[in-house]
Amino acid sequence: MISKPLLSIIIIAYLILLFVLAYLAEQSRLKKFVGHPFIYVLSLGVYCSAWTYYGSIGIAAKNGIEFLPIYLGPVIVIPAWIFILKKVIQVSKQNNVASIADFLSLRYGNSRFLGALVTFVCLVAILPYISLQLKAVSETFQLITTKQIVKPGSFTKDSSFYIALTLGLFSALFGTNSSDASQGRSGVLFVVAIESFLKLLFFLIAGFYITFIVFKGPHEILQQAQEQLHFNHFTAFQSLEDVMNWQFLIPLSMFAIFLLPRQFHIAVVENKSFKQLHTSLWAFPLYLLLFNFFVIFIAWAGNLLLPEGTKADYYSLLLPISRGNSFISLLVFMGGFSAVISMVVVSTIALSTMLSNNVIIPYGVLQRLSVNEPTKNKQLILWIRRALVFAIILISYILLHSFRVELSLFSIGLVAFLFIAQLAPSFFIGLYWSRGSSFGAIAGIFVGLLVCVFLYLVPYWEVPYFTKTLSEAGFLGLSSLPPNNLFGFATLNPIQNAFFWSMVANSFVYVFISLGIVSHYRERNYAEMVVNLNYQFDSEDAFVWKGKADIDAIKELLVRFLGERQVEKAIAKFNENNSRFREIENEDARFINFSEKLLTGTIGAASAKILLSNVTHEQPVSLYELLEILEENRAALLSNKKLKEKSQQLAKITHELKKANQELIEQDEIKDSFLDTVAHELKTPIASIRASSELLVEEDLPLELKEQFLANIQQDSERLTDLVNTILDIEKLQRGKEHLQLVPVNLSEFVPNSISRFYPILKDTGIKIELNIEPNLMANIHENRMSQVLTNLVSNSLKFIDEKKGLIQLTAKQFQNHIELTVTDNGKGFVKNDIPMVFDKFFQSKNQLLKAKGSGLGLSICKQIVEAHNGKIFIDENVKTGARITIRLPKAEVE
Amino acid sequence: MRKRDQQKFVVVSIVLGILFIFPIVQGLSQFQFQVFGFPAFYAIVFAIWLSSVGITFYLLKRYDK
Repeated sequence: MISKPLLSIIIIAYLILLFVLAYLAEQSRLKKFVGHPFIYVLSLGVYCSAWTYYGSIGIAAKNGIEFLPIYLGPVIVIPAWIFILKKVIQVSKQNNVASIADFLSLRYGNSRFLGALVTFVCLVAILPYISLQLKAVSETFQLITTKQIVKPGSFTKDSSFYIALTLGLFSALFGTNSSDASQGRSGVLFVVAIESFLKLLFFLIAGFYITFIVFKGPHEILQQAQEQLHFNHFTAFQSLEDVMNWQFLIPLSMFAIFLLPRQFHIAVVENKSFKQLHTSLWAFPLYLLLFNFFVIFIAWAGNLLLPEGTKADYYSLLLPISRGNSFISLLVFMGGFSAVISMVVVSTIALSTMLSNNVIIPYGVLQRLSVNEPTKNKQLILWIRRALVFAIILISYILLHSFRVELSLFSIGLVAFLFIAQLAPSFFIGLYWSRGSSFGAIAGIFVGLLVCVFLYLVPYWEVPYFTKTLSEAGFLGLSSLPPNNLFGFATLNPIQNAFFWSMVANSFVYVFISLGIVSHYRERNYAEMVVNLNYQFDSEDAFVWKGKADIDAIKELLVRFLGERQVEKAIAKFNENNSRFREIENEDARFINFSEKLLTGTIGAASAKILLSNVTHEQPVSLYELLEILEENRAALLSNKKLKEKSQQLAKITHELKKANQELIEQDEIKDSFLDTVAHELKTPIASIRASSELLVEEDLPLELKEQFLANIQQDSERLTDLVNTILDIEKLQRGKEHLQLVPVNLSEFVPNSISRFYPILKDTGIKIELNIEPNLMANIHENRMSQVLTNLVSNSLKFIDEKKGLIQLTAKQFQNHIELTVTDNGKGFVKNDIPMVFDKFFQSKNQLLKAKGSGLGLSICKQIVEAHNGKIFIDENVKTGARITIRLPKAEVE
Repeated sequence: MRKRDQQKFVVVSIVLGILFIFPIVQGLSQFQFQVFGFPAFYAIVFAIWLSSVGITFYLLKRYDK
């Protein structure tokens, strides 16, 4: 047990830490962490509120597998986020959407009433949900300090009252510091992420403690549960109701992960990039999986060890308390407390934004705002939101004390999901069906809510008159329509019954009315903007507006809400982005759409539309005209896209042609240079032959001299022949005219044979040749050509080594995918600058000795021959003394 | 990411939706084995869950350029 003062100090210290972290994140000192995709993923963990933290264990202990569908719904739908949520984020970012109410209002033509209705639905669903979070803190505080839950005498003695006030202060400080509610709140996001991490960590620690320290592992818990509990109850469906629960909870939680105001706020409003969204596709289901890892073991351990009648929701806290482990119980409490803080803070921020932008401003203070000074407007909007934050928290606190005691976390959570699900038809169908109208959406939501009230709330609260009348006489006095047995569906429990029939009624009414009533052209325009969202174009391209706009009046209006500096900055950016649209007729439309979006974040989409309509003179267009204009725009965008693609293709072709032309010029230069060199090489022996033959013509020349000149002529002719043959060989190999027939050859026999011709000439010198060839090494080679390569390389080495101490080493080794032949000598080595050119035709280093002069074709032909073997020849630059040339050949296939 | 690559993620969602539909889930509860103390039902559900994480991660690595 922990004393109340100590726990209060720990809570205060923890809250101070959160304030500091939020402040640092707001001050951009932690900016690089705040934008990280994992911070976004952890923030999405706000889904796991106290309901999940405590309530899942409660449901697993009582109803077995029923706790899973609440997670499986999100797990099923999250991969599809890349399709659905991406679109929602794109639309929201383009239009400065700040909440789910803003989003639905925008989709249905900035409908003021729909925005207010969505806000009402969210309030009805979430206020009790927030109360339940406060209740969880209050009860766990009492359990950890006094081991029992006692109803506090007055609010001044209730810890949850002070916690609620602190959370209100936190939300007001960090959640309402910008009048533009569509801007992210990095402080809040960072703190929520830290809390999500801590609650998971503490939950895992508690699970580990109960599973591996209180018990000897999951096997022991399982064995005891099988022996002592009605085990089948925990691993299988027991009745049709269980099956129905599973099947209904999955879609219910699927809707909730999109539509709960706190989820929409984190997933959409706080999203900064698609990279964050992409990471969440795998990381968030993993987070949820970790959260569920120990749930069954904690639940069964609680059933086994704690006395019957213990509140199963708090098993994770009560088990360490019953073992006297204050530290683990403190960790569990702090984890649950973190879950509550993040849920309450994000929900109150989202609800206060919705209330201010969709109810208070459009229905209350809009006229006052339109004549106020900019600074006053900003302050008024901020104070409205701050007051709303405290009002929401205080109402939740008051509701907390009006709940019936037996109400579990799980059932209140489900009711919240049920009410939020009423937004699903207009949200999901509206994303992909442009005919869905605001009339249809409003009527659908209304009917859905009514069905929920009559099928769930009235029987649940046991409203005397209604319950009796309805259950006995049925709807509209029809005895076949009692609430709990509608059309004979007696197998559904009240929540399933309400969910099923409300969804059917809601969707039917929405579709039926949307098909029956032609919507206003402006509303259809917005619908088209959302449904046919093109990721490559701005929404301003799809905004159709005809009439006369007083640009100065619009600017004045913008200044009134955003301040002169911010407006100037935004307009400069707008002008820069839209310079291509100057002098075209839709300039006004673009500016109005831009102004509407600017105002949406601050006063909501509906108010923005109302204010702008006061300073513009719009010329109505027919629905037909609107659709025609949109079709034309779409066709123009498509043709623009095609033109862009064509122009990119042309640019690519031009680039390739330029490259080919450059290569041709280079080849031409190489050819000229080659011809020059060949001419020069041929000229020298021909000049010598000519001089010798001219001298031979003289009759009085001594016989000895004649013989010498003839020998010279013969030697030069041979040199000429060699030169011409070598050039022809190179050209043939280079052009691929000579196809080498490669055969498997044993290198351990081939290499010694190839260089055997050198041994007689080296007999009288100190030069040594060492061979290190792996035995039975097979390579696919052309024997004569490869022998030519080795001869050339060894001859080359001989030119540069010392006659007394020279050493040439030939090695051949097999590697995994190739064979390497190396020729290493201890001679002068290559000059580093020459290395890139040594395999070029006629290259001769300026640094070589006179004796080493050759034709400059030896290494070039080696390269051609090795490449004809699909191999590679290169100089090892890492050799410090001497030179090493490596030949890399493909490995021979052994049959 | 191209649209056709995005569709692969939607297929993952559809397959998960089918796997967690009640007749299949009811079938799972008939198995009697256990893995590390997890009864068959939970072991299979968690394995499918973990596989979906792995597959989504793989698809992102492959197609998110």
